[in-house]
Amino acid sequence: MPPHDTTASVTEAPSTVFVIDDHGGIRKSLRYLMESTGLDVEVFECAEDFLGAYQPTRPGCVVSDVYMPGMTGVELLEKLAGKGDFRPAILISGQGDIPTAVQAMKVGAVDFLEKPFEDDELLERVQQCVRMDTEWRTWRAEAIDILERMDTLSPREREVMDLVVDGNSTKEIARLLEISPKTVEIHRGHVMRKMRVRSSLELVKTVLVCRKVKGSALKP
Amino acid sequence: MKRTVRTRGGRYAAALALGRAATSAARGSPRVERDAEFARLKRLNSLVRWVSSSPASNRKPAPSARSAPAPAADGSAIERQLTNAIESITEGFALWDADDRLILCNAKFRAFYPAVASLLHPGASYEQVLRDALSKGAYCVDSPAEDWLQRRLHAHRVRGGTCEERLSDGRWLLATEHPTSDGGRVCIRTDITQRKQAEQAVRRSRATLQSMIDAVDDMIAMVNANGVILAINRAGAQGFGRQPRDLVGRSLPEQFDPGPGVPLQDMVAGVLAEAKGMHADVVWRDRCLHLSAHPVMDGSGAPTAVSIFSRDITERVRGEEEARDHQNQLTRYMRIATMGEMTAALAHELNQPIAAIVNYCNGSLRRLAADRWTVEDLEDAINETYAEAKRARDIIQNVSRFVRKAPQHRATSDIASVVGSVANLIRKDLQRHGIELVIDLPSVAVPVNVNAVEIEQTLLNLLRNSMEAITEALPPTRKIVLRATVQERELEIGVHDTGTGLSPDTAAQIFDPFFTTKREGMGMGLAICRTIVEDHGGRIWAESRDSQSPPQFAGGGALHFTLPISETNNAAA
Repeated sequence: MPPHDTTASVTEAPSTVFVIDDHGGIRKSLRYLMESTGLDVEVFECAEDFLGAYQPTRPGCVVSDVYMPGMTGVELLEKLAGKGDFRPAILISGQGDIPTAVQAMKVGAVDFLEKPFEDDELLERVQQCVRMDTEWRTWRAEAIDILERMDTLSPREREVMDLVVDGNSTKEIARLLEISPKTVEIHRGHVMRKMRVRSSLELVKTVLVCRKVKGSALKP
Repeated sequence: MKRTVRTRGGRYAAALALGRAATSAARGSPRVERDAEFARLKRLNSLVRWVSSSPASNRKPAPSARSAPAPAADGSAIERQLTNAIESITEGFALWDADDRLILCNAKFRAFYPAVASLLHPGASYEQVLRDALSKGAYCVDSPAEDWLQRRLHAHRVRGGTCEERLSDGRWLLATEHPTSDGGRVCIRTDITQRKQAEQAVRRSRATLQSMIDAVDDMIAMVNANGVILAINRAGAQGFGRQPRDLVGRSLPEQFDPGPGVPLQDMVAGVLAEAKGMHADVVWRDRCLHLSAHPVMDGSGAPTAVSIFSRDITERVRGEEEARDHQNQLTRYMRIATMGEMTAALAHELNQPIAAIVNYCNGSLRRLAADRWTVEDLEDAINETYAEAKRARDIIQNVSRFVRKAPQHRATSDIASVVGSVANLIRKDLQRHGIELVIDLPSVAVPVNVNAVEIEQTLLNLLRNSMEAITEALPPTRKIVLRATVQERELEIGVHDTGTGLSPDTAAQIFDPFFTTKREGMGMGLAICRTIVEDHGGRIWAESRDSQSPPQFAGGGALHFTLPISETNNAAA
């Protein structure tokens, strides 16, 4: 696990389940059911309404009917993916046909439930989605924070940091960069301060959080 | 010109007289004498200039002409008249003596043969003129030149009569050869170009028409009142495996025999009697033909012959039949499917309120369990649950009302017709699976008071059930026997198949709703059958493998049901 020293950490905002279903009875009862487990729920009659109120920074997951007048659930997920938002989503369909399910998974749905579904199963899946969203947002915020700290390093400091992370000793770094070990130690001190870490081990762990993503789109 | 005519008129009789002298001289004298006579004639003739339009004769007016004896006053008048007569006719005229030497010809004659006009002077040999004309390309000939020449000479000298000449300038002449009493020949040339062109046009349009008629795929024929073929096109003859020429003169109705139901002779008689067209669709040798017959009028407007068109409409008829079959099948299936569809619709409609009720109850229980509830919350949930439950009840009530409203049409029907229509319906499916359907009905009509559609549904379901049992098990013998027998006051109908049959357990449950042994089945088909049969006051049951079956179906499946025999018509049964 990455360190939790995340002063620039994300959102204190609680997760919300965004429920989209054209059927009033279902919409209202789902809200009642989900709220019973302590989840925050917002309901929308159609995908268009949801997109109208959409804020990318608000954490949470989507629970949407597939077949609705206007935009379908699958189209909604395509729209969100187009905005770079891959938040977890559950699609519900009255007609559980395989092509629709496949399409739903392709556009990033975590789950595809067929009506009538087990209420407890839905709750479990929703909670799982909320957890996934939270974890992802946390990790992403952390990674962005680390990248921002890395940006403050000078080119030489960056070189020294990379060699440290690769497991080289001060002497080896001095030889490789053709500078004195003393100078290496000075750069290393700056790196530790700028990256806000106390040990080499912590530095390695921190840098590896970002190396995993290798410059993939971290910003929505 | 007037002067020329007058002059010519005077000399014409002289020429005629000279001609006569020449012929008589030729007949009685040796050749030498005759030649001397011709020399004299020629000299005389040259001053006659009787074919004045000839430039050659005009060019050489012999000076000695002036010393010719003047014709008699009477003769002069006749000469003039004769000259006028010969010159005024539109035909070319030429007179040859017994030795085939030209005596005289008119301007028209020369005009027909401009290439040899200069040769056409008295004494000219017919053969020489003809040869010259031929060599100068005056004629269009269709055979070797010498053959043609010999034929023409023969016609001229021996045969006489007429023949047609085609000139290279495109004109056609009718050449008529008349023998004269003194052995000479009178040649008349008539311009028949217009007639020939008209004939050619007719021939061309006939050929066009013929090729059009032969290009048609349908039979086109013309017959007389006795049905004898006067003409028939190629497609029509090929339909009988013959050539058109082999069929002309034969009877058309006989060609269609022994095909049943081709009332061709009746049609011909009818068309002629009523002088109007008739149509009939007939079946001949597994083909469907649309025959149309129309009167052909003669000049007086009386119908004397009949034109007959036969169009092969097999494909169209089959297509229509198939479409109709398909439509019927669809209609029946729709009726039968109603129950299944209603079930699906009902399930869909009930889904929403029941899901909502489940959510409210679950949500309430969780709130209570977590001790995180308010009275308002729970009251709201109970109200919503109540409303959703009422909605579900309304849906069910609507469906029940709809079902009760369904009309019950019962009528006395013969079971044979009900069985027949179902057999038609399933025939193609059975054929596709190679299943033989044997229908065994009582020999007398058995009246039953039923809703025919419902009993058809029942029979169809039983037959489908058997068909599926066979297609699943694939036994060596694929056979379904539908047998109806009269048992006292009941008609018992059994459907036996050669499938794997039913275990006693399955046989006991097979008519229960939602019981099914099929992967895709809803388990409603046979349950519906039971409802229908019991509604009609009958019973329905299945034979298990262990019960007694006819030996050929040992081990196969069998489903039976009974229907009460109609009381009112019992006497008739």
